[in-house]
Amino acid sequence: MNIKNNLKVTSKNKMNKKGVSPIIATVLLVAMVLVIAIIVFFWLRGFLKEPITKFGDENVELACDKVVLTGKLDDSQTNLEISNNGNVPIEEVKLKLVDAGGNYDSYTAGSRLKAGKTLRQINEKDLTKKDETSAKIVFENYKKIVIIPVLLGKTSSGEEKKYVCPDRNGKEVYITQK
Amino acid sequence: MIGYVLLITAAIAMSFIVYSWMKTYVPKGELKCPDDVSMTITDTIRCTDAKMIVTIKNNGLFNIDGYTIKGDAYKGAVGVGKKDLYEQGYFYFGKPCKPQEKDDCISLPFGSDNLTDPLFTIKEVEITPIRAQSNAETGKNETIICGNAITKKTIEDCIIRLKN
Repeated sequence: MNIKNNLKVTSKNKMNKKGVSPIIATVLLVAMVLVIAIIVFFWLRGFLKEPITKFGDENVELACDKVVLTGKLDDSQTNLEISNNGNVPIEEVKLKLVDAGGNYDSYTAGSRLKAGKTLRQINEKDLTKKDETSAKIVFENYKKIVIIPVLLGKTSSGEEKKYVCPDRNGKEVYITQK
Repeated sequence: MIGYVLLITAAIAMSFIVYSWMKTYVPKGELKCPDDVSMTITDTIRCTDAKMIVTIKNNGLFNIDGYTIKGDAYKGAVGVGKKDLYEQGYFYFGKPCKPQEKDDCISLPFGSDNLTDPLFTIKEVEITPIRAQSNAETGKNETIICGNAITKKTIEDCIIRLKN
C-alpha cells in the first residue's frame, strides 16, 4: 500500500511542475528555425557563383556548349590560327599549353573573335601571361594546345563580365615533335 | 493549422529560390543551321587582274543568303594564314540563292581595288554559308553561320590584291 501511495504522490508532483506553454514553445521553435535558415542561407550564398547570362537570360555555361572553334598550327609551328565557325562571339581565347608530363602554362590572346572570323598568326608576341608583361613561348616545347573560349556575359546587375568556358569546351591542337 | 501554414510558406519560398537559381540553366531554342544546307564552288575559280571570281551553287535543300570567304594566303613563299577575301566580312547575295539555282548566286569579284595593297597568292579557298533565319522566341530574323557546311577548294596560280 505504501508503495502505491508513494507513486501517486510522485506523479502528482510531476503534474504540478510548471513549463513553457505550447504556444511559446512553438513560436520559439519557429523563430529558431528561421534564424538558423537565414544564417545558413547567407553563409551558403558566398559559395554560389553569381549567374552570368548571354543571349537574353540563358546561362553563359550553355553558350559555351554552342561554341565551334577550329585551331591550326602552321608548318613552321610558330603561328597558331583560330577560327570561330559557330554563331557565338568569342571575347578572347585562353591557350593552355600542355607539355608531355601533363603540366601546363596558361596564356591569353586578347582579341575578339566574331562569329565566322579567324584569328591569324597568333604567336608569342600576341600572348600574355598572368603577372607577366610579355611571354616567350615556343610551341614545340609542348605536346598540345587547348584553345579555351572566353565569353562576355552579363550579371544580374547588368554589368558585363568575362566567363572562361570549361576545358571540355576547348579545342585541342596537337603539336608535331620534330 | 500553424504547421500547415509554415510548411506551405517554406515550400513556396524554397521553390522560388530554386527557380530563380535554375532559370538561367533552361536552354533556349538554339538557332541552328539545318543539316541539309550545302554549297559548292562550281567551275574553276578565275583570278584575273588581281581579283578572284567565284561561282557558287546551292546544292542543298534550303536558301542561302550569303557566305564568308577565306583564302589560305601566301606572301611570296611565306604562308600568312587564312585571310578574309571579302573585306566587309560577310558577303550577301542580292536575293537568296535558292536550291539548285546558279543565277542568284553570283558574287562580286573579290580583291582590293587599291593598287598600293600587296599581292597574295591564294592556294585554298574556304566558303561558309550564311542564312537569315527567324528566331521563334524573339520573332526577329537573325543571321547565322553554317559552320557545319564549310566548303574548301584548292586552287593554283591565283594572285590577288588584298589589304595587309
